[in-house]
Amino acid sequence: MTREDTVIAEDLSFGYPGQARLFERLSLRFAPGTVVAVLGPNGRGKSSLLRLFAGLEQPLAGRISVAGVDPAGPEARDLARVAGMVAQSSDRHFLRTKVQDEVALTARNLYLPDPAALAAQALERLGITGLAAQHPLDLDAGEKRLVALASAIAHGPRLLLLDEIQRGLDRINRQKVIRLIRAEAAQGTTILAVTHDRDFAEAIAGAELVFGDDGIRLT
Amino acid sequence: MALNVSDLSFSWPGKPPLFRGLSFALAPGERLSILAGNGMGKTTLARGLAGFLTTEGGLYWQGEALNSMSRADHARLVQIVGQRPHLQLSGRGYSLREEVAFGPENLGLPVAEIRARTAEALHFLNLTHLAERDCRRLSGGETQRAALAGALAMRPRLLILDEPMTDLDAESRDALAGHLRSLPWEMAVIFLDIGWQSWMAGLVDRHLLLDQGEMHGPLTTEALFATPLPERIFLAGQPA
Ligand SMILES: Nc1ncnc2c1ncn2[C@@H]1O[C@H](COP(=O)(O)OP(=O)(O)OP(=O)(O)O)[C@@H](O)[C@H]1O
Ligand SMILES: [Mg+2]
Repeated sequence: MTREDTVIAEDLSFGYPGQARLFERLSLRFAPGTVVAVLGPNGRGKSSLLRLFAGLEQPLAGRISVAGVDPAGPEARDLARVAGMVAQSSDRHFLRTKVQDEVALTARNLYLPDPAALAAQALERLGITGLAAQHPLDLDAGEKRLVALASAIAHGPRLLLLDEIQRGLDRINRQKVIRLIRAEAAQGTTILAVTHDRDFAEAIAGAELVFGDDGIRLT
Repeated sequence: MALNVSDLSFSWPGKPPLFRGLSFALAPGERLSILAGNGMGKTTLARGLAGFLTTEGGLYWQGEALNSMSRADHARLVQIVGQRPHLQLSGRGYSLREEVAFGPENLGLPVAEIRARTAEALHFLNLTHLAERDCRRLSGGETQRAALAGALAMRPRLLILDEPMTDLDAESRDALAGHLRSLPWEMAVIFLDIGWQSWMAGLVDRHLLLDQGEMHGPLTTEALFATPLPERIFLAGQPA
């Protein structure tokens, strides 16, 4: 490997207070452009792992690096630059009254040049330019999800964290998401996609991270 | 017939109709799916069929109009579980068990009956081991299962499920599908979804398609796979 792996987790342990550990001494490395489907039963810690990479939880032990940034580090902005996320309940998280402003938000907060152009480009890549002037909460469930995805990629993250992104998407929207994931990967973005949908996992992923009864394994 | 839907139409103010002239009937205990792409009005239709919207046309349960029922009778008759289960939990109880008991308690049932229904519903959704957990600390799939358990604890005669199994793991899906096939009470179910899902096999064999405001069908599962479908509608297990 000449290029540095985008995601490095070393000896990671995590669990919520008063509950059994979800994982212990977990080590993972993902190269740029890798698409990993994260699979396994409810409540095993799939979303928790994404939240650790997104700096939304602190590991009990171990280290994480996302493109050289420690998600538990003091500067949220550093992580925001390299990571993008669509959470399992993404439709709760809209902050702006127009789709174009919502999608430009991270780029704007990072003081990137021309956030509006970056937003327009992200919308275009998902084929939803026509939604730019709408209110995010006026959209149907499929459109909302595509807007959440556009918001996660507009600033050009190195790591994309997707939690049940395909959920409730009809055939056309699902195709858009699959194409976008492939295009992002081809540009070198590392993608972790939690999903309960086997067909979807097969359509996107080169690797699977399975939270099984006998521990977590990468195949 | 248990549910009679006749000439049902609905539009949001200033918008074209989401559905119009929709008619079908459901036998007691029958299970039916309504398949539609995003933006075709699936969730609105779910609420309409549950009697939660002011629709045009008729909606009758055993001859009685849903909109003339008392709230209590309505709640005993029909339950709905939507796409955003976290919004559906009452938040009134500290534990999942209390959350699931909330509905039956409001029916004023005897305590023993409330306890039995709560335990039964938790069992249907594989949640017994999480019964004492704080509902705000559940995973996505566990939250969806909690909302389903809350609806089943009401022992409704009509259950309307709007994409009910999206975040469930395979084990919980199969378990729920199995329990729905052999409930100790008679319950008709309408499943709304973006397409045919593999857990529907053996559970529902009559499908309606909603596209551009019009209803097509009913189709058997066999016919569904043999018929050209609207391009948004999805068949799980088929190449993407
Ligand atoms: N904020 C929290 N506080 C305490 N416990 C939590 C919290 N969030 C999740 N849990 C618990 O931690 C475990 C792992 O949750 P997580 O959300 O990571 O699971 P998951 O693998 O994503 O499941 P699903 O497939 O249902 O989305 C579950 O048992 C859940 O109940
Ligand atoms: Mg999760």
